[in-house]
Amino acid sequence: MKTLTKKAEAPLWLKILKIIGIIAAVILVWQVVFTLMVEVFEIWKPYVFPSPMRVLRAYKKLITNGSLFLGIGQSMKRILIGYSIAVVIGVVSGMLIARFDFLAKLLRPIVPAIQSLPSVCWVPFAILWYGLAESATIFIVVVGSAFSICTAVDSGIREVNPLYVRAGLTMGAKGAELYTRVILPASVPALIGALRHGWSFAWRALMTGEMMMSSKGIGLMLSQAREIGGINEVTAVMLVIILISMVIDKLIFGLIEKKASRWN
Amino acid sequence: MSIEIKNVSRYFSDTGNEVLKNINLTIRDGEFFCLLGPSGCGKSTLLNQVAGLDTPNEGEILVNGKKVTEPGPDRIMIFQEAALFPWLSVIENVKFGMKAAGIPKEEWDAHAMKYLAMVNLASCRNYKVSQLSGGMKQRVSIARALATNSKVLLMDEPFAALDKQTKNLLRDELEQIWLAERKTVMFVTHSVEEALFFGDRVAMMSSNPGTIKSVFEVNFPRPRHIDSPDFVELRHAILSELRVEVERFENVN
Repeated sequence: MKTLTKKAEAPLWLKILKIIGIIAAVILVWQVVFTLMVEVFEIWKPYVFPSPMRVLRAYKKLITNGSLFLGIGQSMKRILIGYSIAVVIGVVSGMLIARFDFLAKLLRPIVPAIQSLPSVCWVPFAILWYGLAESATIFIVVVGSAFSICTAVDSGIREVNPLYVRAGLTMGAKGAELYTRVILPASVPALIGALRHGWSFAWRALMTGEMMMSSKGIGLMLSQAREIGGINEVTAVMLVIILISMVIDKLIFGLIEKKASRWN
Repeated sequence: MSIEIKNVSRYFSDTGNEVLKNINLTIRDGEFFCLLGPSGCGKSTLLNQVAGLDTPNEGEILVNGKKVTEPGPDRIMIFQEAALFPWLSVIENVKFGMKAAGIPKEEWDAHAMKYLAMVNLASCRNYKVSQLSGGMKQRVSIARALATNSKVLLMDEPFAALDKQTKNLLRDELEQIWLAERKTVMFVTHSVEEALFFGDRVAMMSSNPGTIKSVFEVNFPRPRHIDSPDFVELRHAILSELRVEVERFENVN
């Protein structure tokens, strides 16, 4: 018999168990590939292909000498500053473009074009303006994400269902009030999407900036790992970069999005 | 409040498309006025102009003697889709227009509850919009419009998206409310039955360009029954005129 009831969501412990299972399976496959290709058949050299055990040892080293958490802390500080500036610039400029036609005519074609520029292309600019200082990396983060936030905020506001606007108008909301009571609340899901998107751009830009010109930070650790620590340390740092980006995207933005989508 | 539509024309200069041509209508205070016509005849455009959501190229519209220049809470529009704000609860939706309507803030709750009760949804006051069915949504939007104390209701096929049973239920409810409040209603529909059920007068429009073809007085008493002889006779008269109109429209295109 077909049931009409929604399938109950799996309990948390089952979800966690599932994730652990998947990770274990990936590590197992990885180990098998390493054993066969590097140790048994000796097709790949051990300095080009990482092994799970050696990556684990790299973590042990990075944790005991304190560089891992120091690096994460430094990167977090930079991205918080850079991303906050980008959010303010992106949201305000996006709203202004959506609101004023003359700004839209002027900037709507330009902003996405600048956004398409990879953030590494801003590095020469950053160095000429700021030298190899902290502000240079933060500058890269800001230009790496502000334009994308601006474009997404602009289109989010522009695509608000016109029916809501008409309903607001007929009930006497106009000007700034129409904006705060109808257009902004209606575009909240799009705004959150814009911030989430902007975050991932900011994170990539931060890695670029840190690899090219920073002292400290995870990006720098990645460059250093290549020079000193070898393939296993490179892998260890890369996994950290992926993990942080994933945790913030899924946990923080995922939760906000879920909360905001409840009324839709 | 009366609505006077004087020599109104609407056309698009780029396509040369004439949507409305020289419309003249006077809707009396407290009248239920139905605007009937085939799709594309400009009846919604005319309603939007009374609401102030669209502007005529020629002529003018006066509501209570005052020229319409922008939307305002003295003329509330009810749309085919309920157009509720999903980020607000049911009661917050109903309270939305009260600020512009100048209702004192301390009365908002009681006032909203009065109209939610009128559409039989008092128990759903704290629901989210997404929890409501299509019929419930349209009821809330009617309550939201009534709660502004607007003397004029402009309804753009408000029941067209609902199933037949819900439609009949809401039709009876709306009639009761109108009999109790006696607002001036301008009601756009493409259903002859709906027009004859509600209208004190029914104006039939022809399309391309949109003009008022004829205005029927509907004199028989309320509540009206769609199988009463008066009803059937007038419906037949309107339908045959409408048929000529639709055929003409199809031949043109």
